[in-house]
Amino acid sequence: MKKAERSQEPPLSSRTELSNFLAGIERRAFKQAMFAIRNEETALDIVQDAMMRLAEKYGERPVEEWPMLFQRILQNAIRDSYRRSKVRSMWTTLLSSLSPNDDEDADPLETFAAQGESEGLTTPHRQLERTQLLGVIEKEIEKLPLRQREAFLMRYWEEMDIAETAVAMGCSEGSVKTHCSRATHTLAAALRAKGIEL
Amino acid sequence: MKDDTEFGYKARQILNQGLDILDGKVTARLHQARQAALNSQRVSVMGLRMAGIGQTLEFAFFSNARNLLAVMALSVGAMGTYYWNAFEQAQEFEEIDSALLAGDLPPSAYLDRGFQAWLERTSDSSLR
Repeated sequence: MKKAERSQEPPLSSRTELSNFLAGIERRAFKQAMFAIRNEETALDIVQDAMMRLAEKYGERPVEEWPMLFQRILQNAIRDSYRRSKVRSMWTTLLSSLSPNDDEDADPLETFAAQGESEGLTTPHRQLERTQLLGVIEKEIEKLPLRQREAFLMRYWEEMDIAETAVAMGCSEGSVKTHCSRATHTLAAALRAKGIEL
Repeated sequence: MKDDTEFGYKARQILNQGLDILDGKVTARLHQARQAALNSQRVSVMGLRMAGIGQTLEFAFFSNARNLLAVMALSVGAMGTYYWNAFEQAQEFEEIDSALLAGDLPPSAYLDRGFQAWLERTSDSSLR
């Protein structure tokens, strides 16, 4: 049976291409999953599943199709996990409705300022500012509705065009434009409210 | 729309900075995930191949390689023996031919029936 498996191994060039592609997108994919799920382990599992599915099912497809296919797989996995976590949290909320959650009132800037202090005084001031800005933007992206976040990240972070984003999201190009525009305005307004102008 | 794009790309630059400060544990796990995905990559088998038969023949050849080699060695041995025997026989005939040609009697005498009968009679009487 070994001889039969040997003939299914990918050629070296194809393996290298896939390796380069995955290495290029894996960190952004993890961040995307984190924005939606906010759980490191689950986000890592989602990225691994998406990678495996791409390799298993679409490994022989043209390289140009991989970004769109990967995004479609990733977004579907994120949505599935999001729905499952919603159901879980509904039960958790019902069971722990007596204990109030104060986390929503917390100021993210305070959190990141505290993080900056814990990193020590050797960190340059500018670096700290950038880290804080990054933290604020990431928090605001997390707050976006799921579809708006998907559209915004695929268009501007993954640099996919409107048609590719529409295919990956399974919606019309018009919807992509609407989601994207709303996401941008929401983010800009949220940052302006914190005194940040990009 | 232009403002949206500009905002989007500025946000992208900041988000990209976040990728460089990911925890080592996370990057190690991502690397591991990538390797697992690469090991399960699917590709089509290139080249002409009859469905099922090619693989079956290949499998049959590789799994019985030792037996096939033994049969081939035996065949080569048998062929060698056959040619060696033929060579030996040719040498014997050559010696007989040489003796016939070098003798006093002409070779046609050996084909004569009367000469054969005389030869037998003579040898019988000499034995008595």
